[in-house]
Amino acid sequence: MNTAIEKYEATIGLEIHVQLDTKSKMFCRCDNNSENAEPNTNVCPVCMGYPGVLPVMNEQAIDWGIKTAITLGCSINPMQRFDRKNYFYPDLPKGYQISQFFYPVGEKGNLKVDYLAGDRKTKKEFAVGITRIHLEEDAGKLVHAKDATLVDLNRCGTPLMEIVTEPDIKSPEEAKAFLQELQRVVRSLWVSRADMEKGHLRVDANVSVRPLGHDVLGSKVEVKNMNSFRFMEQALRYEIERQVDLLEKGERVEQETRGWDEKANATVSQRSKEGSVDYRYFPEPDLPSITIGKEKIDEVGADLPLLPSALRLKAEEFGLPYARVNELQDLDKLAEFASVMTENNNFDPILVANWLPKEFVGEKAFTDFVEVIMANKLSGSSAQKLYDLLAKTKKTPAELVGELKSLSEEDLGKIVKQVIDDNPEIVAKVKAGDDRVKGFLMGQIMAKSKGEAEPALAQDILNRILTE
Amino acid sequence: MDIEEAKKIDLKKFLENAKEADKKFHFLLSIADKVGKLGKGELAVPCFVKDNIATIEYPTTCASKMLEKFVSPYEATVITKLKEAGAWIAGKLNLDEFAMGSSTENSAFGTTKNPIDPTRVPGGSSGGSAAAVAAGIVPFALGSDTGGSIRQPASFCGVVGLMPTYGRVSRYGLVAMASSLDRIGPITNTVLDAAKVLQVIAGKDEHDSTAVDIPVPDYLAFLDGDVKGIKIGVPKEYFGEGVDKKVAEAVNEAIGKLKDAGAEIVEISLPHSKYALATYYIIQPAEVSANLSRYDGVRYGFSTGADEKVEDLIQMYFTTRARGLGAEVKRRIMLGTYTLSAGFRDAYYDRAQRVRALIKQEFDEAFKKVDVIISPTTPTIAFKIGERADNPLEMYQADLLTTPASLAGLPAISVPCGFVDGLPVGLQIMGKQFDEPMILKVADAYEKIR
Repeated sequence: MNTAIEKYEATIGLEIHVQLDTKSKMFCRCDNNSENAEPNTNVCPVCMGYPGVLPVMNEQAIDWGIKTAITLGCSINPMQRFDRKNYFYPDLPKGYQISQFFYPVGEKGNLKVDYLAGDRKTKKEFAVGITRIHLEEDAGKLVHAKDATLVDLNRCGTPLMEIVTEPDIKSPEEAKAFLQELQRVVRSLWVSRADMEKGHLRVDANVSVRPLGHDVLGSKVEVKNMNSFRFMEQALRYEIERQVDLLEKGERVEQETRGWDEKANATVSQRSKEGSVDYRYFPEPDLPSITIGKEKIDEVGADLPLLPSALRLKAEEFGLPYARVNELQDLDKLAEFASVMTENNNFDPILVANWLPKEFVGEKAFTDFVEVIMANKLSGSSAQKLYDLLAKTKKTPAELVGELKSLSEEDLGKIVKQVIDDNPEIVAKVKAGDDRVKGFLMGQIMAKSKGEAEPALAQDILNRILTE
Repeated sequence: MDIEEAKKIDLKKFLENAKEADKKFHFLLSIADKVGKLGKGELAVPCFVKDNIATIEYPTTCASKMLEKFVSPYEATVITKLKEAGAWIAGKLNLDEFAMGSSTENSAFGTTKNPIDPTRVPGGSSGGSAAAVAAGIVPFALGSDTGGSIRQPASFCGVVGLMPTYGRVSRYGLVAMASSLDRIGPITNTVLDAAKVLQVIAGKDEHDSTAVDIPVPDYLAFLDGDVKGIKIGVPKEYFGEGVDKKVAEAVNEAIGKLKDAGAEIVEISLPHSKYALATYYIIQPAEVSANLSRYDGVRYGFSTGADEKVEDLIQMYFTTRARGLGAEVKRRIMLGTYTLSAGFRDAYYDRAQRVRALIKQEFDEAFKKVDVIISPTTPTIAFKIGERADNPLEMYQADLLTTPASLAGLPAISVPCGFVDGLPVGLQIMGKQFDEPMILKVADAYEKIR
């Protein structure tokens, strides 16, 4: 859109809502999964805010909030208390949302992110401060029909974890990398399925731009409705360019809320910040505060899985190039990779990375397979053949590799001899020291064996005969 | 009529009597259309409950146009417990709209009259409950007390009203007015019956995390009539300014009788109690403003969106709440909205919470020296219908002596202690948290020597 963009820097902070995958809702016993439920069927008097009902805390949600906060390096508030956030909206049955305002579950954390740059080679690193993590209940949903707006309260009371970052993010690329890393973190903790398309992971961004070198941040615009990683990147890119354009024209950036419109490919003004809402927070009297002692923090903090970044570093230390590390990560195979390499430190990391994404019946079958390939110096094509055989029989790789070899070892000698006999001039050249033509002989061998020859073995036999 | 007598009454006759009495005093908002069944148990009697307690058999109107036809899809924990103890819930009782008031004049469905003198109010907000018991129709009724709403009408109607410790009885199904203060309790003719009802409704509840898991003692075992050596604190502040001299005299006379029976009378001072009323009228409306937000015309209850053409959502909200809610309810919603607003919360709500903590602390200190604290329940006897209806501040004065125990979460009981100008006076006995045995013991002893 313009070249002026290089004269500016963007500042981005994110507010992320993570839907916790608890069994029941946050304050009642309704099933927390409404994925295939008809509207307003997964509800009860409590989550529908009927007169006289009271919330009862789902302790799993508190534990998972603490778990995530510990993982993100936050300090945990020793008092967990809930507050009422008051506002009117048809999808909010009580007229207030139970949330944590005064005492969030955790504060002042940090997430270090490394990611593969667009060139698919470079490793880039940055860190994002976590301002706070707090727990709250979700509201329902409005469904806009042709001549009416309908309310579906199935989602009401679903536990949410809101994660607010410091404005430490400098580009849409970093924003995406951060959000993907956060998605991996909560998935590795098993606290959320974190599927953006299904709304388990929702993100709003605060975006401002300022001329490079300026100390003061520009006016902040809140961008909403970014329902996928791609939309988020597009929306942020668009918003940064829009703000730069305004500043270049000498205009002001209005502080407002804008939504990403995927049809228009643009952010569109939703409401101005001027009339901002006063939520009149006060402590929720229906829920006694909970004291979180050191034992509780130790208990929840014990047995945390390895962070995705630590896992990547480990994989790199096993000798896997960073791009391959990311490839395995995208296939969700990185933890398995680390586990296989830890158990078998003699394994070739590339070989493991190549075969790990394929299907095996259990880890033993896989490690047996890798062992046999390595012991027999099998080529890629032979390994593939062995893999295909494995699928058809009940035999082990060690048993099958015998078949693979007996098929070729004896016959291969004959084929090599035949090729040597058929090409006396070439053989003479090789014997005279011209190694370049050896490839022709190999090609002949491979062709005659219809590709069934083991190249390393063929090479061995060829060399042996030629040097006899 | 007490519970034992009521076990023998003819249920058909009971229904007829109830309807007849209701014509005179208007305490009922719903009544059974036919004779119901009594179960087996210690409370196998007909009873009524205040109409802000959720029942599935009758509407739960809260005496508000907003919920005029509303039938709850679930029932309150106390209702289930009463039924398990054999009780038949035969109807629902009048109250000030959403329990906001001290006279039942704020009911959208008419004022209840005091059976002792039908030109006077029965008190409130549980005015229907007190009147039904005072008229001899039921042996007990459930009421709710936020700032005095059980004790004050019990005092005005000359019956016993017990507000248990906050957390002793489940609030699940009690339509919330001010959640940190609301409590359910019995109104009865005798202290023994109050103990019997409490025995049934007390205890933890998986639906209410503020109902604590503390064992429920055998209350009846404490009703031995013996007050020898029991230390009774008499706070001088509860007998001074704003308290009718004749009421104070009647209470002092009762204290004298307890002294004669062997109790030790200790004069104490609770200087922070004078801030209780102001503190209460900050915290309570703040919680009201949030608790009543759900009446928005979207899901249940009165709605202008249901049968009128409204411009948009905002207009639907405005007209629904403007027409569905009464003046006192709106006043408190506005007060509470204001005191919680950005820039004002520090000066009002937060400050009131600090004063509340001081009031509580002061009681804790006092209870290191005494077993119970005794005062008048109300500063005056029952006033005339209409007398205070247009003056909310004067109406709020009726809560002067009951709000301290409310704010402190303490149990308190009002028992009749004589008459002034032919109208009943109530004696308030306050106790330590969860020390219902002690207040019941002293109240019962007083009842026996009265």
